[in-house]
Amino acid sequence: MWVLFLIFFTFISPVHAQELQESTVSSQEIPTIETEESSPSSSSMAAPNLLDPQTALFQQYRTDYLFQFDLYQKAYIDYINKSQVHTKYNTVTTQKDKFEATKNTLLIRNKMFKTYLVALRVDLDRFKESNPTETEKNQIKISKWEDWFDEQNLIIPSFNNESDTSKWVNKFKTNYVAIQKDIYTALVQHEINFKLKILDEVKSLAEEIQNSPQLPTESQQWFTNLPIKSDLIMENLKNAISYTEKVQNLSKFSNFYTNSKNEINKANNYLIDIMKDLKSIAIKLNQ
Amino acid sequence: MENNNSYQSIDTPVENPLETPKQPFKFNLSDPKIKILFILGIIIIILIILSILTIVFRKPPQKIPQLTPTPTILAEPTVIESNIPQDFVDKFNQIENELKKDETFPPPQINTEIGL
Repeated sequence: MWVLFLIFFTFISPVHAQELQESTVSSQEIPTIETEESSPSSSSMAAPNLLDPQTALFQQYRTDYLFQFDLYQKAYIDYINKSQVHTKYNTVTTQKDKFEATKNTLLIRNKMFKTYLVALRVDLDRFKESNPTETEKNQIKISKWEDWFDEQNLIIPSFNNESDTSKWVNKFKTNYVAIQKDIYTALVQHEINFKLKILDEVKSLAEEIQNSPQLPTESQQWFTNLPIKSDLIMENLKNAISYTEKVQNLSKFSNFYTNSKNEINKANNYLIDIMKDLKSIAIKLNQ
Repeated sequence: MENNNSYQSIDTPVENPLETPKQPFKFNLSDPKIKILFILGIIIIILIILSILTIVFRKPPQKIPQLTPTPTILAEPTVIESNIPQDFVDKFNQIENELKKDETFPPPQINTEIGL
């Protein structure tokens, strides 16, 4: 009898029992939540995007820029490889290869920047009528940098040694602070112009709804408050542009774009709120 | 002549007065101690068998899936698009599409240390 006890305790120990339980639990399938995937048909249902001439022109220049960007990436990889080879072997041949790769990368980079600036300048035309004076100023500055990049590409092929390259790169770094400032200022201006265009459209729509004979009298109050909301939007947009006027350090660019973008987003939220209210009022016209 | 032998041999255990005779063990069920031991043994065996059966046939505990809390419903007035007057529908759609657009065209990020 005691032998039987021993057999039971040896084979059916608590550890063994726990292992048995764990194996049964792990073999269970963990329930998964099935996510609904967007069907390809849903994207194909989107209406064809008919572009206006200015947008179509911008798309062309943008494609050109993307092509140049791709070339630059390839040239940059080549420069990195040649640079690593030179660091490893340090011969006259590797030095020459690295020098040529540097010149080539700088040339292609300048060309890429030129195409980016052209695309940006063309893009600014799209909503220029919202603020023609300031937009024109931005376009002139961008145009100036386009010419500058062209000029640099006439200079770079004449470099004879690494000393020439170093001098030019140091000069470029100083100019690059100003280039970035002008680029980001133009981007902020462009987005402000777009929001101003939307604000005009919202005001126009609000006026149409207000002049509707079916408009209930209690809704009139909302229209008297619309200029206040419009002022809030204008204030946000003004704040956005004020960040661009910040004086830059000569050696390092302090990017203001995020701050400006936050102000533009606030303005956008006000516009969304106005649209919601207008929709609610428009529905009452039918009741 | 009478053999008056008072001598007792200690070499033979039967005759040794100090030696207590060993009685052979007898498994006697009528002995109450044995009875109790036997009954307890049977109870333990039964309990072990029951525990084995329980482990083998017990259903594995169902794993409760982790459920994400249901998002609270925002108190927003529902706008039924079809109730908007037809004259304004296109304008509403156009402005709403514009509000969703992101007109960002970021510049390329470059390594300014090339050539140094």
